[in-house]
Amino acid sequence: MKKIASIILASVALFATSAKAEYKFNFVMHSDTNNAFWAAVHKGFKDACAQINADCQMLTLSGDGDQQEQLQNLESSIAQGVDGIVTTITNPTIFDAAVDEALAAGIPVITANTDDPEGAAGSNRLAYVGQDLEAAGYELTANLSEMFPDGDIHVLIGVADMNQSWAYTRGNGIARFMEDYKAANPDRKVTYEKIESGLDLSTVGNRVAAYVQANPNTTAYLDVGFWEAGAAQAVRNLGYGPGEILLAGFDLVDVVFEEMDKGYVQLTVDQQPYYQGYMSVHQLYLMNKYGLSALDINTGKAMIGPSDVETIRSFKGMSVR
Amino acid sequence: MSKNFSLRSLLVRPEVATFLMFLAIMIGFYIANERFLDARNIRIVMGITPEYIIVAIGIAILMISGEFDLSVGSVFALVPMTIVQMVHQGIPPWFAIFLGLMIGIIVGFVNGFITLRFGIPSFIATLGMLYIARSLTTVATAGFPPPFPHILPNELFVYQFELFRASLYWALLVAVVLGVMLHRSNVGNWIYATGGDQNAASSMGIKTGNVKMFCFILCGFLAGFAGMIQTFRLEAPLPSQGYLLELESIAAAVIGGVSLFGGIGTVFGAVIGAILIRFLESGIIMARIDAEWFRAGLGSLIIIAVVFNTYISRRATRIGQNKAED
Repeated sequence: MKKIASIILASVALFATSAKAEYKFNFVMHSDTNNAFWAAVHKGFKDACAQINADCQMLTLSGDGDQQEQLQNLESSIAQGVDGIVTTITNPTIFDAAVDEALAAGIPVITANTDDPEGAAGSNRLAYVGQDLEAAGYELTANLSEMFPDGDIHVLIGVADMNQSWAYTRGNGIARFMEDYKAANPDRKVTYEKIESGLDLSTVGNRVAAYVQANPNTTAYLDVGFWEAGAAQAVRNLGYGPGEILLAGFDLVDVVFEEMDKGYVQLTVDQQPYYQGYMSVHQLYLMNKYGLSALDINTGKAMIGPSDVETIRSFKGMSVR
Repeated sequence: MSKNFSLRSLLVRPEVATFLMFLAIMIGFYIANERFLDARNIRIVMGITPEYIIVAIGIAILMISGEFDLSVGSVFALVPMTIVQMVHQGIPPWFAIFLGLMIGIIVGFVNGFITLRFGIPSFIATLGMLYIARSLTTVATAGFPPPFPHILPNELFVYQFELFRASLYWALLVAVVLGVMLHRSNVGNWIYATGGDQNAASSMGIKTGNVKMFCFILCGFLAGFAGMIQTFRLEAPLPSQGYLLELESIAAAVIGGVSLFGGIGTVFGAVIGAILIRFLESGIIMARIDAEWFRAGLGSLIIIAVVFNTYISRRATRIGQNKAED
């Protein structure tokens, strides 16, 4: 028994940090480790930490989007007494008290990737490093609309998880453009519908396939994540040719490029996730070291189409895009 | 000799081994990061733990009776979501709470009815309910998670005192009441007898079906009650809450010495098991283990806990046997 107890104690003690880093930073995110998008954020986070010799920890979830667990991770980070926290804010209210508690304890908090839906008005976080989610949804749809065929238009909006602010905020941007498009085309029948589409390729594929079969007049499907790639596989299996249903979404992941090669996905938005991990750490570092203040950084909403794929692939091996 | 026997009788109790394990973990993580035992961290962990204690007690009692419930995580989300939606529909808060908790009871009853009436494993019946109740939660959100109605009496359940929340006292109340029921009443004896050997229990005149039904209903009720407390604490009903809770609460019960085969276990063990898991989780984060290793660390420590537990009780049994041979 003594032996086992000492092994346990020793292994736990091993977890203690060995090197003495000047600063400790935590990144509290809202996804599990299986989500391909986050690899570039994590890479940016790690690269920045290595450059400044900081002790960094990225806290993922057991279940994608489990906000209670994310809140717990945020609170644990405060209890750790780290020197700065980067977090996403996926719910308009539940993180507010913890953010305030961190700030009161002298720990700077900035958001990355997903901000409070009301921005600075909804949370006391010091800055946001990421995409303007609503605007990106609007722009994506505006760009895709240039490919809309003549006649009636029916658009399906896949809001991955209605409970997560990043998802419904982008969805709202898409819907706002559709309202504008409807107003600009009074002589055509323009309709759209939102569904909760899911957080993995096969779920999204199944739901979109079912929807398209029930609504063969569907012109386009826009996903708030990168899961339009799952929809692409599904519509192909249903016998649709490339471009017969326009598909668009967010982010640069391999499955999306594959579907662009095949002609099924027309457009995706790059939010440059590497910046979200990288710039937020450097901000926290400079705030700690020189007392600089935090600043918002818009990491962009570049439209990426099939013709850009080759260029982007040349950077892909570096895991930054 | 009598001294050895009393040591044995103490160590042979699995929840005592779990408690020792708990102390070892606490000391280990304290060495890794001394802030682990800071008032702030204790306050955070003990703010969350009561919700898990309540579910683990329900699961433990059901497992002692020889059945499982995999739907607790979904009921944990469904009950508070319906309470919140009913309040939004204009139903008075206390009546909405009553109706919401009744849903937990009904789910428990349906789980028991399907299991007992059709003679299928509760593992399957409640696996089905896991999906049904989670789906009903999404239906209840009506497409968009509703805001938290502040007329609900959440302070009564989650008020933050200096170190602990009111929810801890509710959890202790549940533990004491059900501990007395399980260990000091006829109902408790029936539950142990039913889970230990159902045929023998039946032939002794125990209505084993009723006993199991009671445990299913209790488990559903406690899962819903605990979910309500979590929603009251977060002041937001989240459709995702309680994700993987079924596995965590079974893990808590097993770590606390409840047998997977029924008939063995205590309320105290389930309580310690639940606390241990929550501190493990916190300790792993506090020790700054990398994200990719987070679940591997948690999983390994769960296994270590149970192996340690089994080792201690076997060892203790052997000491007892040796002494008896002397």
